[in-house]
Amino acid sequence: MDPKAFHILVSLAAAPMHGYGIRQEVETRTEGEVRLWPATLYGTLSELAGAGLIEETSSPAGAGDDPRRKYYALTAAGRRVLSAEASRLERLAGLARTHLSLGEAST
Amino acid sequence: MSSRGGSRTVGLATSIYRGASVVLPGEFRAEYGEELVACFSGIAGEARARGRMAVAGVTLRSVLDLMSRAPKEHLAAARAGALGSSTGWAGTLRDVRYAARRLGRRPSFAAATILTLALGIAAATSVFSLVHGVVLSPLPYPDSDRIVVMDHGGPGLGIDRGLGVTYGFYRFYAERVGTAESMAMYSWLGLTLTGRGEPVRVEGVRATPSLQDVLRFRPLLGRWFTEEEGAPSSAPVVVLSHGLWQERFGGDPDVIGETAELEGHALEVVGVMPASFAFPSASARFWIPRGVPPTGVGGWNDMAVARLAEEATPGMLRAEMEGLLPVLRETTDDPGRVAMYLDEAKVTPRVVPLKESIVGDIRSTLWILLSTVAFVLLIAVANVANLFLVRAEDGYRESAVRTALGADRGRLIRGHLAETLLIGGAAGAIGTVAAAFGTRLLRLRAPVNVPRLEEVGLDPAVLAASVVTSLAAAVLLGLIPALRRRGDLSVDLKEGAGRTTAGRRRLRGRNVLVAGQVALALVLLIGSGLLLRTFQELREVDLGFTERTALTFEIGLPETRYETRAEGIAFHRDLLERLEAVPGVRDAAAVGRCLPLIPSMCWGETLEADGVPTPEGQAPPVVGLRIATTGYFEALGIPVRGRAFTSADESGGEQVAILSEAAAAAYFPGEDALGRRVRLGEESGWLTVAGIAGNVRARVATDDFMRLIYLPLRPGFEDGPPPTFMSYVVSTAVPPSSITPAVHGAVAELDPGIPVATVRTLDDMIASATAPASFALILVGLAAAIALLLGAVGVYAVVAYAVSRRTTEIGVRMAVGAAAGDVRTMVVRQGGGVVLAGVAAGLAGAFLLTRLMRGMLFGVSPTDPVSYVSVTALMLLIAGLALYLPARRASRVNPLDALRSD
Repeated sequence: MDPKAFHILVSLAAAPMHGYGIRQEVETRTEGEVRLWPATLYGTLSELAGAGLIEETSSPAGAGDDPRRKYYALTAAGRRVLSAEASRLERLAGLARTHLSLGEAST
Repeated sequence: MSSRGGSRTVGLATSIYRGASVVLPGEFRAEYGEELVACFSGIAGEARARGRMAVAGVTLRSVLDLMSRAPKEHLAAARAGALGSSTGWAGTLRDVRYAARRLGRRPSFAAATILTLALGIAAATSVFSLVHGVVLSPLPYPDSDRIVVMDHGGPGLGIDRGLGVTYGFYRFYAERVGTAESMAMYSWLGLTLTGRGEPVRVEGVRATPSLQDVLRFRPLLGRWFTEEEGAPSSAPVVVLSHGLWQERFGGDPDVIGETAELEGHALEVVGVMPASFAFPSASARFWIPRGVPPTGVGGWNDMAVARLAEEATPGMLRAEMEGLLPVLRETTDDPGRVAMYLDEAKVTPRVVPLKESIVGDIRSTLWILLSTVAFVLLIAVANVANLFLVRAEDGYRESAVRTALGADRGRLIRGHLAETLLIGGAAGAIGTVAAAFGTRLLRLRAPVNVPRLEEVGLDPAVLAASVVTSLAAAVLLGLIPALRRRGDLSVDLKEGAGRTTAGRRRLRGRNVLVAGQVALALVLLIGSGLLLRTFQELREVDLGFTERTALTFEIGLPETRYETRAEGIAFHRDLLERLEAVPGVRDAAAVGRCLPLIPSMCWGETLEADGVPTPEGQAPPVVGLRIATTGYFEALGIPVRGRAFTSADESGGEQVAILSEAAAAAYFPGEDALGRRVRLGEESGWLTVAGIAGNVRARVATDDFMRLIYLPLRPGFEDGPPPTFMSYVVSTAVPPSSITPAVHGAVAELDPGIPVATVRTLDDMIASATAPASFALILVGLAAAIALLLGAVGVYAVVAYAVSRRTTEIGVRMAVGAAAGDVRTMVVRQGGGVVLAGVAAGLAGAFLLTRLMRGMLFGVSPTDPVSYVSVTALMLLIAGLALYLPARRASRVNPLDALRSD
C-alpha cells in the first residue's frame, strides 16, 4: 500500500477528521517526515473514497470548525484493509528480524 | 512579521494557489476545490509565524504539488474513476525522459518555443517586480496600513490637498485626537554639509522624536532622538542616512558620537538608519529633531503622519479632526489667524494612507505597463500554442497509430504535458534570469518620480508569480492539443489526412489564435502610438522660455554666516560679476527660489491690487514670489512687455515689480496691469508694475501657468524672502559643460564653504521633467515592437504552413492553367481574412482600452485618429509582408514536383 494512503488510514482509525486535520496529524505523528501537500492529500483521499476504504461523514458534534468542512471516516472495509496491512507489515518486520538474528547467529 | 502584513501575505498566497488550482480537472475541483484551498490557507497560516519567506516556500511547494498531481487527476477524470497502472512516479519519470528525448530530436522547435515563452515571462516578471515593489507590497514598517498622512486642503485657495499642517493645528490635534495613537510632524530642509571633503548641499528632514512611535523603525546603529532632544535648547544631534554615512563617514562603525558639520553647526551623530529606510523619500539624507512651538498657529509649512489606533480608519480620524475644528477656533491663542484659515481658505482635514500618498499617481501608470506586458505574454503563449498545433498535426498519424495499437489516451496526454512542462520550466528559468537583468534596468531607467524604487527586486513573491506563470502557460499549452485529440481514428489513419477537409477544420483553431495575436499586437501598437504622440506634444509645448542650452545650478548660503540681507545680496552680486567675466559666458542671472518647471516650494503669497478690490467672500489668488536679477528674463528667453529689471531697480528709486501674464490676469481681470500698483501686504509699500512677463509652466504636462510676481534683488526691500537660496542661469557661447570648472572656481574663490548644487543644462532639466512620459513610451513601445514581431511570425507561420499542406492542390491548379498571380491572390485572400478579423477586433479593443490611458496622455485624445490610422496601416503592411512571402513561394511551385511529392 502507498505509504501516504497508509498514513491517512491510520489517522482516521481513531476518529473522523477533515483534510487539514489529517495533514497535521500525520505530520505530528511522523515528526515531520511525511508531509501531505493539499493536491496530493485530496487526490489520495479521492482514490481511497473511490476504493470504498473511507467515506464522507457529517462533522462530529462539538467540533468547533466550520460545519461546511468535509469530514472523512474509515469504512468497515477500510478498517479491514488497514488491519490486514498492519498484520502484513508485522509479518514482514518479523521475517526481517528472524533473518537478521539468523545471520547474527551464524557469524 | 506583523499580524496584519502577514495576513495580507497569506491572502495573496491563497489567491495564487486558488489560481494555480485550475490545472486540476473540473470534476475534481467541484468535489474538493474549496477544501483544497482551505487546507492550503491553513498551511500558509502556520508558515506565517516563520515569516514571509516561509509563506513563499510553502506556496511554491504546494503549487509544485498541484502541478505534479494534475496529470494523474486528469487521467483519473478521463477514465471516469478507474485508476491506471502506468501512473505514479515511475510512469511520470518515464514520460519526462521520453519528452526530453522528443524535444532533443527537434532542437530548433525546442529553442523557438522556449525562447518565445522566456521573452514573455521575462517581460512580465520584470514589470511585475516593479508593480509589486511599488504598489502591492506594504511599506516596510510594522502594521504599515495603520500609518496615515494628516493633510489639509483649502478650497478657498483653490487647493484641494497638500497644504500639510501648521504647527498650531498639529499641536492641537496631538493633544486631543483619540483615533490616532501617535503623531509626528516633519518638514524638509536643505543644508550645507562641510568637513570631510567638498562641501555639499544635502536634503534632510526635521522631525519630532515621535516619528519613531508612528513608523516603529529601528536604527542600524545608535539610536533615534529622545523626547527631550525635541526641545529647542537641547544639544544638537543628527541621525544619518545609510548613504550619507557611507559617503561622508566611510561607513565607519564607530561613527556614533562623532560630529557632523551642518550649516556651520557641529551636530553629534547619535544614529545611522538602515539603507532600506526612506522616509519621507529616498532623498532624505539626514534627520534632525524638532519640537512643537508651545504657542501660536504658524503657516502651512509642515507635514504630519499618524499611526491610527486599533480598529480606527482614516475616515474616522478625518471626521474627528473636522469635528474638533470649532474647538480650535474657541481655544486658540491666535483666533484671527485660525478664523482666516477656517473662513477664507476654508481649510478642511484630509487623511490618506501613507502608502497611497507615496504611490499616488504612479499607480495607474504601472498597472497599464503591467497589462501591456501581460498582452505580450499572451501573444507569446499563442505563438507557442501555434507551433505546437503545427507539430501536433504532423504527429497526428503517429499518435493515431499508437492509439490504435492500444496506447491509452491518458498516457498520450501525459506525455505531451510532460513536454510542455519541460518547455515551461526551461522558459521560466531563462525568463527569470533575464528578468533579474530587466528589473535592474528598470530601476536604473525609471524616472526619479517613481517612489520606493529601492524596494523593487526579485523577491519571493515575484519569483513565485514567475513560476506560477510559467507552469500555468505550460499546462495550458499541454491541454489544448489534448482536448482536441478526439478525432475519428479511421480518418486520422488514412493517407494524407492533413489535406482533407477534416485537416482544414483543424486550421480553424490556429486561425483564431493568429487573429487574437494580431488584435493584441494592434492594441499595444495603438497604445504606444498614443504615447509617442504625447511625447511629441510634450517636446513641442511652449514652456514659456526659449533658452535651451544654458547651464543652471543652485547656490544656498548658510544663514549662520550670511545673517543679513545685505551680506547675501553682496555674495550673489559678486558671483554674478565673476561669472560674467568667465570667457565664453554670454549672460549670467539668478532667480530666488525656483526656475520654471520646478513646482515645489514656490507658492504662498497673496497680493493686493491697487484699485481692484478682491470680491467679498473670495480669497485672493495665490502667487509665487521670485527674486530675479537683471538679465534673468534675457538669460532664459522669457518675453517681457514693458521693461525688465535694470540695475537702477536694484539700488533705489521707484519700487517696481514684474507680474507674469497669469498673475496680471488674476489680479487685474480685463484690465492692463502695466503701470498699475500692487503690494504684498498692508504694511509693505506699493510696487509699480514695470513689466508683464510671459507665462512659464510649472510642469510640462499641465496647462497651468504659474502666477508669479518677480521682485528685483535690492537691499531695501525687507518683505521678500532673504536671498539665501538662488538658482543661477548662465547662457554661454561655448559648450555649457566646459565652463563648469570655472563656475566651481568662482564660487570657491568667494567662499570655499559654499557648495554648487544641481549643475545641469536647461535641456537636462526639460528632459527630466518629461522623463515619466519617455519611460512609459520606451516600455510600451518595446512591448509593442515585440508584439508586432511575434504577431507577424504567427501570421507567417500559419500561412506558410497552410501553403505547404496544399502544395499538391496548388500544383494541380497550376497544371490546369492557374497563373502565378491567381495562386498568390488565393493565398493572400485566405490569410488576409484572418488578419482583417484580428485588426477589427484590435481596433475595437484599443477603442475600449486606451481610455484607461487618459492620465498618461497629453495633448492627444485616446481616440486620436492619426495614431489609429497610421498604426493600423503599419500593422497591415507588416501582416501583408508576412502573407506575401509564403504566397510568392506558393506561386513558384513546380506542378510536376508538387504532384510527385508525398
